[in-house]
Amino acid sequence: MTAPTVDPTASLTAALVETNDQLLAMYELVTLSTDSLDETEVIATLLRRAAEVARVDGLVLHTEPPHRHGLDDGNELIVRVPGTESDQTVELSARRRNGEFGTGDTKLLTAVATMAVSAIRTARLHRDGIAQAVVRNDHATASILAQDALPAVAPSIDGLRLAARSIPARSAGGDLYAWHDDTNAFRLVVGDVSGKGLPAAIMMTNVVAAANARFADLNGAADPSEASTLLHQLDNWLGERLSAAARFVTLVSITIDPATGRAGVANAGHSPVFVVRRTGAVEPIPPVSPPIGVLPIDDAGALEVELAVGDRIVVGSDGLTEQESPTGEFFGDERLVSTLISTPGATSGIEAVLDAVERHGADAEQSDDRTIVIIERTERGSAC
Amino acid sequence: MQITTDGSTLTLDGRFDAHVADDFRTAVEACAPQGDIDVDLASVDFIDSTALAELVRAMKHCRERGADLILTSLSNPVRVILELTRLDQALTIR
Repeated sequence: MTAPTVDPTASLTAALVETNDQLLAMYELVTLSTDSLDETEVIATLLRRAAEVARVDGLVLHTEPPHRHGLDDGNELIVRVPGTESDQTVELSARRRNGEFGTGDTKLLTAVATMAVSAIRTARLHRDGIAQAVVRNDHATASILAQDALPAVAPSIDGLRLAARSIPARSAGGDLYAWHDDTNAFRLVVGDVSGKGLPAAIMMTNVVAAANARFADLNGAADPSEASTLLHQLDNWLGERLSAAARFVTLVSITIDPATGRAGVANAGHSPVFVVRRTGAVEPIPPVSPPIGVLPIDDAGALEVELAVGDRIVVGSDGLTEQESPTGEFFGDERLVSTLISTPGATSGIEAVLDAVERHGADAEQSDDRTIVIIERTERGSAC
Repeated sequence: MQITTDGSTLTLDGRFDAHVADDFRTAVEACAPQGDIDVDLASVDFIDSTALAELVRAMKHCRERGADLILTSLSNPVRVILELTRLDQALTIR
């Protein structure tokens, strides 16, 4: 009897094929995509490929305590690595029916467990990132829709020139204006819902909608006292809703007869509000009641103002006067007034004020929504 | 901004704005069952509209319980804002 001969070439070939298979399995393992949002699917694929590389009969990953130990039969190796949370440990249990585990197995399985934790973390970050992107997108869309409640184009009114700008501190804000030109009367409200951002902006759209609804009910010649009546009606409509939302709105209601320049101004807690005469004289229009949404307000009456040609009613928001410089100094009423006096006109006045506030703030953050509305009395029949 | 509670007196120090509105609300609700709440504003150097809305909310919270929110020792910046907005007509000030 002769001993069976072993073909060394065949053995070497088998070993090379096996090594090549191992390398391919290793390649597939390390190039495993972890882009999937399903961490269970990612882990299952990872463990299946890792079992081929490690030549084990079973691999189980325990990410949640209590960890279960012990597989059915054969030899078992358990490795532990830090989990996705700082106080968490993840265990990887490997089972091999035939053969012992060596030091190399421990290192390989530790690497696999670390990859698994990394894959879980990636899947969660990916999922959270998408959820945040959806919220950001919704927020941006809602902000645009809210700001769209403000009229974009000032009407052409014979006898008046109107200009208005609002720059929210964030993507949307609580500052507002709404107007209605009724040939014989021009009606306007300017206000500021307390707070900032989208929540204030959503309440702002309610105020604008309520004002527009009231405007639609008003007809006929301008009556200065109507400004106060409108404020009172808006308080009736909006007071409880604002109160329930723990907000209030400072609001100025103005009614002007474009033919005569006779105006009624009713102010509920808003500032700054001025009449700036063409002569340079400035008359503040103080509030007659607290803002809407604090307590029910009375129909306290409107302040009557006679506008001569070139006179302006200026309504700003506190985001102008309270804009701080880098050294913490407010822009204030004095700078606002001096800028207005030195710059006649409606649109030019607005641009000058916004530029001055911007320069004052320099690199400081815009602290609040900036809004300014100017109505200027003009000659009848002149271009608006 | 620092809020110190001593019984039913809250003492505020610094800038009272949106960043501390939640802390102020928590402090008010913590001492509301004891009746009137005094809010010492002597050391408040700035107050914004969100903070004013919180004061109004706290005032309503107290009045719904038959008590009141009493603002004391107003600093000049707080007094000016309360007068400008006419909130001095709605809030109790001593």
